[in-house]
Amino acid sequence: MDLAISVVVSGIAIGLLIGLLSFVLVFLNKTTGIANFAIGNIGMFEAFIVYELFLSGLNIWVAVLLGLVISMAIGALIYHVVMRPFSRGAANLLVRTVGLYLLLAAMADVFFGQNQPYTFPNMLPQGGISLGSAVISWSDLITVAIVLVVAALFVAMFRFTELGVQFQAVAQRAAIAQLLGLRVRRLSMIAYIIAAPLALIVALLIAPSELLSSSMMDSLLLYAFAAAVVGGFSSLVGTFVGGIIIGVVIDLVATYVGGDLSLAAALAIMLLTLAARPNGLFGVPQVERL
Amino acid sequence: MRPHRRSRFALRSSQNPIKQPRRKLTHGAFAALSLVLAVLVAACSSASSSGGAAGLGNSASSGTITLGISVPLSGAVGSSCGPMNKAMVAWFNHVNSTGGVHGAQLKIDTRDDAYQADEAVTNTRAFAAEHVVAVTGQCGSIQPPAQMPILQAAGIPYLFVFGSCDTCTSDSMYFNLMPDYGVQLAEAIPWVFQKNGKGSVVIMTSATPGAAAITSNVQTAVKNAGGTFLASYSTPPGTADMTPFVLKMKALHPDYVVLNMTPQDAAVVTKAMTAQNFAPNKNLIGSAAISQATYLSNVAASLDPKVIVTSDVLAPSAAGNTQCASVLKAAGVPLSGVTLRGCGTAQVVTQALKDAKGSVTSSSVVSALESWDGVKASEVYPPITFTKTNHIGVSSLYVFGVKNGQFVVIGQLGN
Repeated sequence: MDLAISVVVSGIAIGLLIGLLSFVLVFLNKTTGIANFAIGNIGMFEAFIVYELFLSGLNIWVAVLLGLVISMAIGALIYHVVMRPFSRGAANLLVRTVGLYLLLAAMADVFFGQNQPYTFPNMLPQGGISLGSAVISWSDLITVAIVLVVAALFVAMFRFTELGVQFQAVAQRAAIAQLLGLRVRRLSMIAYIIAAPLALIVALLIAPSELLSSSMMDSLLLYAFAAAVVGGFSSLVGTFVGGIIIGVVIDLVATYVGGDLSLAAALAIMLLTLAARPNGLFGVPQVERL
Repeated sequence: MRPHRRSRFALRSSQNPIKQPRRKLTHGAFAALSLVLAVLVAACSSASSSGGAAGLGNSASSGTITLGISVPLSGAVGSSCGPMNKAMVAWFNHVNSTGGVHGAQLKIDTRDDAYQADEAVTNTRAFAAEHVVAVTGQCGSIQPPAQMPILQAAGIPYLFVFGSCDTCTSDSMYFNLMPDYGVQLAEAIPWVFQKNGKGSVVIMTSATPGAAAITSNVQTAVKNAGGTFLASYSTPPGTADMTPFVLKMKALHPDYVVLNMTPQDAAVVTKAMTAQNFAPNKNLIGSAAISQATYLSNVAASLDPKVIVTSDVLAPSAAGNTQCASVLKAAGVPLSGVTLRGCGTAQVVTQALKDAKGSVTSSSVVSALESWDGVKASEVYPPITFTKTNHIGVSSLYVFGVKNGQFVVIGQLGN
């Protein structure tokens, strides 16, 4: 029983990270109409930039701050170069995101990959709090805090800022919002400027424990995708609930069934959710007039 | 039907039944795309093998001896294998600059396989088409089982992989220096029991080809040495979260934890052990696979005294005066466990080419190797013996401990 509790605690910790990446995925989907499958690798690529800045002699925190600024520019660049030109047709745009996913992995291999994976410096305090036989590390607790802060900031943005209201308008009725004078493309670009640093934060939280490599986000992206589907692709809060469910399940499966089946279990949950509850746990049905 | 709940800050995408021109995806489309994505990612870890290659052994031509190297310069083990390759190339360049092998220059065709079996197969087919004399410099246990059928059919010797391939040992073209990881660990266990006492053992393995056989070897060795085998856990290479396995081990309170993993996975699991305040009561035991800086640099100082690994090459701390050390220094390659191994392996390959009688061909290299009896072909490897039926050249292993953050020799196994 003690082991099960420990595994659940560990699953919640990894689940929140999955949830944060899932959150970024859904945020982009809601604000731009396209879930960008490259978001994990965008974070990975930005983490490599931070690492290079660190290797050049900068303090790690300075490197992170610079990295966050650079990642905003990367977000804008990706929108303008990859997503915006001739942006008609969801399938076309989705294929672009898959292409970007592969391109970023290849570019990371070429530019940074010679000796990967790299040991990323620990930015967060070591050690943690004992809970039964498990230890909740400070980094896990800080991850929780970061998730809460991000969620609070987004709630505040959506409720109290004009930008948030505009995002809501675009998410609900993009065409009408455009007719009413909202600059939808500008909003999409801002969404990328917000999403790219969030992806970097996820990558920075993972890199110290799992080493920095061009494939470091692959499995997490799949889990994040499953979490988004479980939570409901239209619900931002659902992403965290979905993330926790996926995180706990994959850790329980790894513990009691076998590590080889963790990914299969996550994908099975996703498919079962789609079959039994197509809009996920928190999603809303999408009604369209024929 | 219960109405769908909505979060306080969830954005609803549609409430008005007016068809929207905005791009929108159905969940079904997402599912399909997720599967496409899953296949893309899974494809990166898939293994394929294939036989069928042209040629029946190749020869040097026009004063050039061509060697093929398929090696992970990127991917999950690039940090270990890339430097090893640099060291090999540095030694081969040194050989060329000092007159080559019997006047022939070495031409090295290095191709990145990113630790992917299918990439290694593509590279190996290219080597067969290129009529290389030998394929060498491989690093990893995933690729050799896929490469071997091609090389066996083409009659090209496969020299000295830094990895494990238990299904290759019956192939006449397969030569390796170090014993299989399973053999290394099985030899290490009685030595460790004798030193630190018998005890209970857990093994963690990366799910690579041959891992089950290695686990079985370890299990048998533990029982034969009077210990208790508690459990084995297997994880796919690159597993994101090792915490569940660490928690399971922690619940068993083992005296020894055996790591049969890639250095990167071993590093991640050791970091997770530190995060969970877990360490085996006595030792962390590993094979040559983790006797390198990629692993050691990720081990917390508190665990250093517990680390014991086997190695078929000298520790870098004992190799300062070797020719390898000076060649690597001249080439700007830092001296480390893997670079020393790379240089030493290149020395052994060079010696095999030199010992080939007549013209240097694949078959003359095989004959030369099979005639070696206690040949000191490299300053960093023990004497090497091959026979027609035994293609594993090194029968003694160093045992390393860790002191001041560096591997140091603390014992020896075998002859």
